[in-house]
Amino acid sequence: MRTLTLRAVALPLVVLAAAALIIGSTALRVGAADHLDAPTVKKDGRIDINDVYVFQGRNAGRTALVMTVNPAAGLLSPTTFRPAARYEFKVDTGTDAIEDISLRVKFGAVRADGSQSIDISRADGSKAQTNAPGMQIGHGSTGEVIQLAGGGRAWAGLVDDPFFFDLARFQTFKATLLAGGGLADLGGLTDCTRTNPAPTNFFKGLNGTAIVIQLADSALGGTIRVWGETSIQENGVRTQVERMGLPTINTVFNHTDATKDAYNRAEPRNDVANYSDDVSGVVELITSLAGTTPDPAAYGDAIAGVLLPDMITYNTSQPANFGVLNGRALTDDVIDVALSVVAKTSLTDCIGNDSVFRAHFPYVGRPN
Amino acid sequence: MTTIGLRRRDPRRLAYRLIGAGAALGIVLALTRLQIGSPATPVDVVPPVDVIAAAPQLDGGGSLGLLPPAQRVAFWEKRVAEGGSFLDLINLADAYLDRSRATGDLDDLRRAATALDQAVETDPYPDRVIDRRAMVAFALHDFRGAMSRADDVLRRTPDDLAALGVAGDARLETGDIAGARERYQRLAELAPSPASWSRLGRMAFLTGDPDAAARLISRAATSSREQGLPDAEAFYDFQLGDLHRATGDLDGAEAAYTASLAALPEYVPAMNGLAAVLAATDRRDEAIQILERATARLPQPELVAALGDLYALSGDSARAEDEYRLVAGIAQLSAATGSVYDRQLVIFSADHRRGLRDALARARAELAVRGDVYGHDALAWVLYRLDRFDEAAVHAQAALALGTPDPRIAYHAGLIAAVQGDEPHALSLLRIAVRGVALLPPLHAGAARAALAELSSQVAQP
Repeated sequence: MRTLTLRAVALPLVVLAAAALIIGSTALRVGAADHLDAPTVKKDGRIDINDVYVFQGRNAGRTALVMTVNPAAGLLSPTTFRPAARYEFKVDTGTDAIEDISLRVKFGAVRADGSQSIDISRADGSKAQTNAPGMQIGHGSTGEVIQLAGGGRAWAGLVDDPFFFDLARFQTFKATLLAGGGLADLGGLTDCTRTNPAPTNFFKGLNGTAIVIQLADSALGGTIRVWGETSIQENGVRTQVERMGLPTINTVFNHTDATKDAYNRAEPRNDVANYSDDVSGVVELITSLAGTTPDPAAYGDAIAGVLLPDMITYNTSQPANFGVLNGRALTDDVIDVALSVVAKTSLTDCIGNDSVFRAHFPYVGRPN
Repeated sequence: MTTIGLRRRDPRRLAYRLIGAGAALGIVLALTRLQIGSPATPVDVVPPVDVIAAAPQLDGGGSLGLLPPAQRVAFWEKRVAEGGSFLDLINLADAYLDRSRATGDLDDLRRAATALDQAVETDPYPDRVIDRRAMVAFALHDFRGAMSRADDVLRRTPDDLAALGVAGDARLETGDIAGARERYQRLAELAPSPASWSRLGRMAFLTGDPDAAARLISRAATSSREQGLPDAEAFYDFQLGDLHRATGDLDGAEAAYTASLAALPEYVPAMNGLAAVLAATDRRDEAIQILERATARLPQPELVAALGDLYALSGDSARAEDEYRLVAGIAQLSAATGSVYDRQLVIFSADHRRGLRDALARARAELAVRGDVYGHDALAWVLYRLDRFDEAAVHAQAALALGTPDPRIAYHAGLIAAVQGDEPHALSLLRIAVRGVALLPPLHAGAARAALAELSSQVAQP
């Protein structure tokens, strides 16, 4: 199980899609929570899930689900959704990591004014796990609030990317670590007074596109496990190309382009069997270098047990707080949490939320 | 009146004269005495790269909602000015590259190079910068520099897809077919995709298999269409159109160019191709309208010359001469802006018998750094126009070495074979040229047909 080397860990850290410059038609250039996490989605930001958020709506008793796509929309990727692609929130209401509810969103062709039609459907039970059609619960256009049959609302459009992260500094830290520099630069992730380079939020001022669905808690469940998924038609067959629950899993713990694509096409139900070694190996390596635990292997196994299956667990009766792994709010500093968990010591990239979120549905910030 | 077409060493055969474009060329030559007008601004008239070299990354249709390249440049320039990181510099370089594709501004390529040279100093993952730097070098026709950089990355990471692409492309341009093929095949193994199929398709055409080329490029276009990537689709459809045009399938070419323009309206390479098809099918006025728009967007020498030819064929000698002067102006700029469009200028000079001595020097210099079959073809054509037939024959043979069924190569080599007295070979080549006559410059389409007719007649005589 402990076969990871420094080089093996280095591979997933090369997050910038240099190859897309030649290989893909849309060259995208950053990577972060789940932005640009694998070759397939690097080619088309429209189907690249950046983040998934699950939190309590403005009023108790309602849960908001947010999925962002299109990293650096308008600059590095489109501002529209891919027509005929399927964007899904998958919800496991039990503990088997199998979806019991699928909330599906599809978009029409881009109109002259840039808007797109939206169709929202819901599939339950076995239908949620297959391509069997669900029941349409809403229809409308991007940029407008859509009332859903049975209660709830939906919205989709261009937003300020809620994510925040000192990507450049983090990459430098990782490279130093993996070049054999140990954790000499670890202080760089705790010293927020540093000026060269100063902490900088790469995502400040960048946009994305978001899909927001809000439902009554009763329409979901008490404790739910949520992940996002995108799929497209490939050779006439609907094919899953991306999935995401927790932030940074695919970008940090998988090693090669092939495994990243494979991860995105996999199901959470198989995560423990297929990816525990990868997660625990990386955590073991970093904590070994950091000297932050006497038993890095055991700690790695424990963290793998927490992070997998890759879903956001959310008790709908409690406010979301990623720090205690209950959902994910728009303002949660998931990078600080992730860094600290992986290194088993308190770390920060010294970057906090910069977005101004709406107090009401659809909550996400207005685009820059 | 100038002469073009078949010539023989035998004085008795010098009577071979071809009509076609001869009269028009005479008008053109007369007009060269007029003052040359200044082209708009240098940056507006410089084409960035051969269109075959890189897929477009423009959102001409607007369906993706990307900001115009100039706004993207402004965004990243501001970030860099505010102390941005290597990431901002890389994104700025990419924005410059996108803008250069849209405007033809060579200076944007140099700006991109500068930004990348800054980024590599602090980027902890320099290979991603070097990949881009190699691409910029390639776009500036620094093929050795591109190859060196890409090879450098491949020594560390043999499966780096971007480096494999540039390393193969640079080898193709410098005539290392085996080296290019090896890298393209590796690329296709690692990442079967439109980009790899397109490259293999071009390789198939160059090595004499246009059917395989059509299959590969069609696959690339179809895949891009299915993926909803209009920019990529536009490029591959354009590439397919050129292939059909070369093989004489004008219906197929028109359909492909039309599809390209549906995906990416005002995509200049496809506009040029469609105009050529229209001109070849007696729709010259439509062709002129399209070329006028295309050259307004991106006045590449080849396009400007084609527009001039169409004006000339329409009897509008004044406007034709304006276009030819613009090409000459671009040639003057070339010395200051690099060698990016030397090949187009060489061909223009030979086609129009202008500045042949300079063209010869330019062709030789280019062949030294870009030794592909088209380099040999360009030099052969200039030498032929200078009546240096033996030397021309050597390079014509080199141009035909791969069996490339390109009608332009066949036209030039056919005329050279004729003047060398190798009539069967000349006939065979001129038939290829006439089949793909829509790929020839407009003024030479009639000349190619006349040459074939005349040679056929001569051969048929007892």
